[in-house]
Amino acid sequence: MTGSPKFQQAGDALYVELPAAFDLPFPAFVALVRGVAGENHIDWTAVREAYLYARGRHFPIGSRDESAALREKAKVRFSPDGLSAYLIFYPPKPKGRRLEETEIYDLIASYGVAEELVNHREIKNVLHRRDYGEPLLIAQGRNAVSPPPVRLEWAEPAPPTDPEGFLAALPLLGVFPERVLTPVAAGKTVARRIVAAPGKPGINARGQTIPAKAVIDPNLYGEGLQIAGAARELVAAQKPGHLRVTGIAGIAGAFCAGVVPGREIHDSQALLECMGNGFFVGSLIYHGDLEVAYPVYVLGNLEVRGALVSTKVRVAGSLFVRDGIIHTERQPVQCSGLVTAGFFDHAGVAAHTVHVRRHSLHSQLYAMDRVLGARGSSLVGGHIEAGRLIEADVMGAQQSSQTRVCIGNQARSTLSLAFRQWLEQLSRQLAEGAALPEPLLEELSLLKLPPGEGYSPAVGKIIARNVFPGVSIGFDSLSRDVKDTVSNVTFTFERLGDKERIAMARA
Amino acid sequence: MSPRPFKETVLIVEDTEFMAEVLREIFTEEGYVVHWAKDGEEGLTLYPEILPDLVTLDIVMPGKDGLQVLGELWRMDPSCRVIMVSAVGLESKVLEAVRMGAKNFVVKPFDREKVLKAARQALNEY
Repeated sequence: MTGSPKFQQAGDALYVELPAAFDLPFPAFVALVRGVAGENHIDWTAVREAYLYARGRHFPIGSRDESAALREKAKVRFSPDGLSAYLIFYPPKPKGRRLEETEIYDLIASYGVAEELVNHREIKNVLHRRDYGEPLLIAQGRNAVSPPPVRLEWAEPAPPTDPEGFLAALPLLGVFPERVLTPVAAGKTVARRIVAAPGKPGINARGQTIPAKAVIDPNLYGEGLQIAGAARELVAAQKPGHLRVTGIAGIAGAFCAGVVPGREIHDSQALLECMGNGFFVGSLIYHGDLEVAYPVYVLGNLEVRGALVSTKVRVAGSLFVRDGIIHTERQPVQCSGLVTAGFFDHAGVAAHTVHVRRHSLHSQLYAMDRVLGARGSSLVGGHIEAGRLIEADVMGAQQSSQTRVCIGNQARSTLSLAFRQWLEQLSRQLAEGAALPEPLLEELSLLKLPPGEGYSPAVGKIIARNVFPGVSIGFDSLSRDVKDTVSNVTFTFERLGDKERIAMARA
Repeated sequence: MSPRPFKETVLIVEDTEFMAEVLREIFTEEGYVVHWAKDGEEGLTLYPEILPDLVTLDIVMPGKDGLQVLGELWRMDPSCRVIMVSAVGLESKVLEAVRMGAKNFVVKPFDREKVLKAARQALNEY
């Protein structure tokens, strides 16, 4: 046994104080109390309360006055997180009296509730009116405040280029930024490292301090960037290239950056030359409309500051098109990240995520994850397919354009097949000692997943503000034709036993 | 009945696993922390370790029956709160248990509302 209980007779009342590390089993403690009770009438509920909740403090467990057993009683309980303390009253027996204010405060103190946190107004109120059996919140602590993680503040806007990061940042960037990919020169300061103020400690209802959480300092900069400045608060580029910014898994709004090889191209001849080995390794900005007769393969991100017209494009990264993607249905754009364009006109696209900023006309859009339309966007004609979600304001048109909108897994198979050869070529080059930038190889990691993994039509959703007749909604091989215009609607897949159907719910 | 903002613990002493599972589901859904002892001996071992707020005690069990276990629980903890669980036709045993200090009783098969009401009544007594 660690320590012994101290019993103390003060007037009629018998108190016990149990050491914090008292480990005598409860039945043995009961036997001990029986032994010292003498003329006292023991309150066995109080004995149990002292054993469970009042270590290290005086707790009344009996009285020589027989009428004490008839008196009104009370207990204190704490919420599982320890932040809140509740007082519960139990009615007096016939001829018993109510607890007085000082007795209530003594009891609260015996349970270890911090005096500075006690809500005295509630105690005053309860002196007039008791609600027996109902817990009354009498003390409320404060949780520790977590500090925000260390972050980078960009010298110039530098949006992330991964699908999740870009779409999350888009509301801050506006409809579409002037520039997405950001060229940097060696030695240039690209960002300031912002270390937030430390968090604040909290306090639980017993007055114990809840330590403040440590500042999360994720690895925000990788290859090609280094810390600079007297106070080590600046982030500077070590080499020329383009910034590659991506979201950090598990930390909302946090991004990490590096510098990858990058080029700005202004004409088709220069583009052909920079793809000496059949593809460009790095981040590429093409100024003007991209319409060339040869395939354009980029291991990295590609930004087209114009339109992409009738050109075979394969991107292991994300593709940002300022204007539109036009007439690529015969040679679909293949992209392992995000494809965003103002419009898609007779376009063919297979990508991880497709972002339609204004409209898609008679296009074949396949996404492994999502096809997302911006506010006011429309999907008219063609075939739109995604593995998880399709969302747009308008689907179909009043002129009854045949539009197929469906949840399916075609994009992953298409992309896996398309990129397999490239992956094999890259593997050979790596084996032969070629220096390929590690971050760029990450872009291909999604495509290494087996085609069926993680896909189920049951988790798919199709959401639209207006769907016109002529639209066919699909989930794998199931179809449902829309016969009348429907508004604010969500389509989902339901399986009831061996029966499957497409459910339609209106908001 | 709204869940309490703090945890309350129930020890189910019940030899039939199915019946114990039904009680466990009723109490767990209501936010109680539930423990199960498959007979009286195990119940008497577990009780001082967890000191539950409430015990549901089956009357008919192999080995020590519910009344014997109730007597021993009272010796361990004169403030224990016990609800007896019985099948129809055991009225005399239930009455004896109540005389011995059991707070309430419920009859099999279980009615969720009746079980929870009996538990709340027992817990609302000091």
